[in-house]
Amino acid sequence: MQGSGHSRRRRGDGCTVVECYTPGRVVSRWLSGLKSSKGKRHTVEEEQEDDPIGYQLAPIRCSTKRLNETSPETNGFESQSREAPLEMGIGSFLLYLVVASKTELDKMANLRMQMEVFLQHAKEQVQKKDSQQNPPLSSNEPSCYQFSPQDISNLASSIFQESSTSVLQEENTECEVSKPEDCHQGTDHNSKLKAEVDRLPLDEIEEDRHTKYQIQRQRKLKDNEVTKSNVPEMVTDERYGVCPYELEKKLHELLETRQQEELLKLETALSRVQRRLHEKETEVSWWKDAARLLAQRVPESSRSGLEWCNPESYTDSERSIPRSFKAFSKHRMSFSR
Amino acid sequence: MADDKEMPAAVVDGHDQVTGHIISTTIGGKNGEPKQTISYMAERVVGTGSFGIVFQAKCLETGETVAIKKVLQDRRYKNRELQLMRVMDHPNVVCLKHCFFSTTSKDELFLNLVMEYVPESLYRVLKHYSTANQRMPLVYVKLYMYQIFRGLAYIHNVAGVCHRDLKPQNLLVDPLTHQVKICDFGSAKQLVKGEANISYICSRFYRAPELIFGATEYTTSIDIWSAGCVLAELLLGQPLFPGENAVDQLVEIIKVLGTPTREEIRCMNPHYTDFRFPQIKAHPWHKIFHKRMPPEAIDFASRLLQYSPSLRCTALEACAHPFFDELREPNARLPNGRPFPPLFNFKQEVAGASPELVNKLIPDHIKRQLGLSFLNQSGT
Repeated sequence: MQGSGHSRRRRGDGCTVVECYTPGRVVSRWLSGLKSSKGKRHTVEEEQEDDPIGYQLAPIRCSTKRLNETSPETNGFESQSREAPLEMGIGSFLLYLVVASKTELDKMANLRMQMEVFLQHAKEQVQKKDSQQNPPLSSNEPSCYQFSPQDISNLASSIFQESSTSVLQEENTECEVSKPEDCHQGTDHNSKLKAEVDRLPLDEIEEDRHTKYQIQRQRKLKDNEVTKSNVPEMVTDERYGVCPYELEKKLHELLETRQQEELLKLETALSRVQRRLHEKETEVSWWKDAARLLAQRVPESSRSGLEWCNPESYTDSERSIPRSFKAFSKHRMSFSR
Repeated sequence: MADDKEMPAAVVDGHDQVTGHIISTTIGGKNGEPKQTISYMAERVVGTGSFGIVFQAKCLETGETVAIKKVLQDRRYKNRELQLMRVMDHPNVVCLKHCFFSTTSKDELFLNLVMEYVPESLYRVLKHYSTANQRMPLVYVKLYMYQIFRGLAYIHNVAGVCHRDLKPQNLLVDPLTHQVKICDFGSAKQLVKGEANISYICSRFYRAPELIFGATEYTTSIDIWSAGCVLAELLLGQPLFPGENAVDQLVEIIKVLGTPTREEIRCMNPHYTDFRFPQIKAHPWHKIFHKRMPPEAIDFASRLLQYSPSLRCTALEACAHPFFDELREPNARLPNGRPFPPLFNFKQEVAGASPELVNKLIPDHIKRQLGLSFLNQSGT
């Protein structure tokens, strides 16, 4: 009974119990379950000697149950623990959730990286162009102007599409805990999110666009007023139409200005996505806490339920705590990012 | 005063200073008419340019105020402006009252075109609104633009002339009646199909893109472009395409309309089709104007400001645009309650127009007044 006393102490320490449910831990519990199931072939007394602190084996036995289905050697063992399937379910569910959320976080981090690389690249392009002041009047300068506004908008939209999908996946995983009403059909949600991403940072720009346009023009007019009289003069210098190369150069400059504006928009969007990422990270950590609490509660309640219907099995389960479990609890894996 | 429009009598004038000076000339004397001396007292200079000067003067005999445009005359040539102005007779075109030559002590010959005096120009009206940080009320925009297009319809269709320098400075406005008159035919020319014309005409902000591309075979649609620029300026309170030079002017246009397609470039000047210009996206028209801008105003502007000259609507079609429907309503009035200046007294300018177009141009209440009920049937 020394083992059982120890386990209760450990159960009182909430943190210890919760941290057992890291993916590594769950796997190790399966493994240890296997070990202990082999050990079960010995007598109960032997078991008690071998695993004096092995009360928490109960969930492990549930893992062996599944293993038993494929290995007939352990068949006789199944009857010994009724709480096994529940614990097994919770364990695998938590494992799945943890793995899923980690994948999502990785995805978001990747997305951020991708976006930063893209922006960096675009910036470099702009700088490269800046450094090439007064370029030769030739129409073949493909390297300087790799990004058309179309390219940028396409790239941006593809990035946002990706980001919104990954956010969506994450929300789908989460919403069971947080906001079930948000779990719509994938595409619907996706388009909603995309629209939101598209709208939020750009809307302000859209709002100001007219005014900005006006201001730019007013500024230009003011400059004109300074350099010449109020009355626009008759054109007398350009007698044979504009120089196409000069026009081309000016249009490239215009393109560059528009790209810079686009960049600004993208940067705003990026900062918004980063903010969202941060929010999601906070949510994930909150969710982890919730999972801990859940994990803490479920074994208690399931155990008490079993106690009520079959006190003997409870005693058995208390006795059958594998040594490996305790050992593993010492190697708790931190899941913080 | 139509009989005054004959070859001017020369009057020697030895002084260059304008203000306060009295200029005398004789008119008549032909077809048995008595000779008559007219004296003008110059009051103030109202405009100067490479052409010469325009000054306000008062006829001492009649007390009438006139505007005299004094231009240096090359003795070898006839003055085109005089030739054109002599044939113009329309409520929306400034009227030539009289003309005479004068010489200076340096033996320079000047032509003096005596025209009706209209105190304001659209440029000054616009400036008045922008100084007050206001937009011109839409009813005035409609009223002014309608009259501009009516005047253009006359110039283009009846006189067969292209103005080639349409801009707010050359659009005179009577502040009382709000009647608009097109003036300054110094750049105007009768365009003949197949004949080349100079492309370095028209003031920069109002130059059609084909002129900037150096086209020499253009049509009267360059005036339609200029009128489109004026419309946009009235709606915006500032020029739509404020270019600093010819290239910049084209860039300003491209900022709004986007890079012209190869086909559009071909329509403007086929010599430029070999060049591949960077693709600039068009700025949507509705984003250029403020949010409450009526859609018909935006539609109207977009129909005037087209790259392809042939796609721009004609002056008469412009008059029939729904943007001007408010002016055709039976009880339409000026904001001060006074009636509009005459808008529907069409004469030759509608000749050759389709019955549908004429039907649109003349409102029902005017048709009833004139007893033109047949137009109702034919126009449907």
